Amino acid sequence: MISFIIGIVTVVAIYCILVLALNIRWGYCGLLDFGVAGFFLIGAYTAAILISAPSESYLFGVRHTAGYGLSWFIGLIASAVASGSLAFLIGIPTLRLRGDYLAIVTIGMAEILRYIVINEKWMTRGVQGIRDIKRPFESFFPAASLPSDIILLALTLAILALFFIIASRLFVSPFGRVLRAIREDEVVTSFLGKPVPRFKMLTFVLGGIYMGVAGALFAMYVTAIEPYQFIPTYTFLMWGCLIIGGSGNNRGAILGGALIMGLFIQATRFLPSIPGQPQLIPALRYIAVGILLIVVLRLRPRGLLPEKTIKIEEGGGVDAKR
Amino acid sequence: MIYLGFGIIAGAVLALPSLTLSLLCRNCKFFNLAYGDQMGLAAYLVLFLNVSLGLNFLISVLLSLIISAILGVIFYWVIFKPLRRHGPLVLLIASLGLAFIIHNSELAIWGPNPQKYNIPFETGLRLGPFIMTPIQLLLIGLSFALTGGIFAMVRYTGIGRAMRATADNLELAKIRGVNTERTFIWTWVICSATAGLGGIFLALITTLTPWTGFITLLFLFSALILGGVGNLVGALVGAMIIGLASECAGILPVLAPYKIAVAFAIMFVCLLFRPSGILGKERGF
Repeated sequence: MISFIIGIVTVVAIYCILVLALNIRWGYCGLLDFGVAGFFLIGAYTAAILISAPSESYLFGVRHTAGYGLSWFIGLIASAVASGSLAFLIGIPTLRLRGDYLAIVTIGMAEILRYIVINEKWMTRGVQGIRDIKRPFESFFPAASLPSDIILLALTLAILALFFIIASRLFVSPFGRVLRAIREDEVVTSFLGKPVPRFKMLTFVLGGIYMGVAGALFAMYVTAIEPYQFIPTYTFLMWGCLIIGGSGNNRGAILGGALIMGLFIQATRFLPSIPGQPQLIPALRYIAVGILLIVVLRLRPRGLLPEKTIKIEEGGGVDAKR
Repeated sequence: MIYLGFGIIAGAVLALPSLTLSLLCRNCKFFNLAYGDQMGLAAYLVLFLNVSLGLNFLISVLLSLIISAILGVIFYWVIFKPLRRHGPLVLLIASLGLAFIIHNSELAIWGPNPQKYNIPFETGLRLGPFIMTPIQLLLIGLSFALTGGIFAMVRYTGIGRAMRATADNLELAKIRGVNTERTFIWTWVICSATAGLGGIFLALITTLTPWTGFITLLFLFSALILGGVGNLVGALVGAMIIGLASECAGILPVLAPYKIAVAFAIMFVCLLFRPSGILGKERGF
């Protein structure tokens, strides 16, 4: 039971990192990213291929070796780099245009990446997925034991805390102020002499790095990944978490992630499924999240924990409200 | 050559929904991500009426189109109209939420397995180098006829003029006495009904799964951006190019599983070098 709870807390914390990354992109800078699942996938597969032990497979009589058996730390860093680079590539044509284009390109990119990992079996083993991904310090603590779970939980929470602190510092820093200015009015911000495309690109890449690290942690947590774990549904769930929790507020992002992913998605594991209709209960949960998303957008568009308004004291205490 | 035939079918089936999606984007000034799932829902409604209730196929198509037009207006009233003041990006998020509600409703009711309509199996006819079934020929004809009809409506009828005026400048159209609210409702009626028809066409030439709508949406947006968003002729040209290119990619075995990737690669190159699309985009995008 205790390892079950540890497992749920770990996976919810991983999803919270994703929501936090989405908050930096959308909540701070207004970048509409519908490719969360894609960045998550890149992180998870990079880590999985680098960390898992070398194993051979035969495809049409040709021998392929997947897995490099490297240290978990290298996997974590490589995931961040891979996902950040992907964000950079996507950002080149789209960040100059209206926000909608970024949404369309990212939504397609995530789907294409999933097709690639399904079809390029020599690298990713297709729908069978990659198994036996090593956890940190596996030589000391064997997998599927309580200490191993606790270590991964501690690592995840430490990274979540670190990312949270970075994101919070970013919010109040001059950099974050420019990001919010871009979100409110791009044209005015560029008239003030700020290089808007560069700010947007930095934000987009930072979000990519966050999501890549979350993917690596996810690969280590589940120890076996397959393409089905990265369907667009997860992108949509992360949006649900952020909008319901409160975009622009990091605490809101974490609250939304914990509420939706923790209570809503995980808790229904205890609900009985209806015989003969195995897909009914999972689908109803997603419908409920979708309805909740639209209701929050209509009735409380700033979420449960709205963005804080920052009071600026200089020049006679101007109230900077949204 | 056989791939060219597939490409023509794909392009013709994509043409109608991409045209009306373009119309919807132009009038409402946002990308409707629920459009693909609206298509899928209408196709599933036909399945329900035709297979489960055993109605005549044509009657069930008609009923399904009426229902999807009504649903379109309901979506507009309940979701998109109240959110319009928050700007296009919030509308986009709301349409994503709607897309997942529809997708998961399909999954909950009809399950994940592919479905087929209760229509007789047909053998292909040989037409020069192409092999097509009579139903595919009928679909190509109908698709082009309706496309022409939509063009004529936008160009010559009163409601078409009102649509163009509303899309061009909402405030000015209001001042000049155009009933913009009624124009929006008509736009949603026409676009939802044609979306439904496109979905039914798609289900006729392939199988129907809850993912059909979402995947088609990606093709439609590649076509739209390639042709120029809001440009109606561009949407047609884009649909034909995307349909031909993604089907002809099947000639190379390496690219066969990557039809969407081919469509997206074309769109990506277009965004890099000519972000307004090959025929130029509408103002406001």
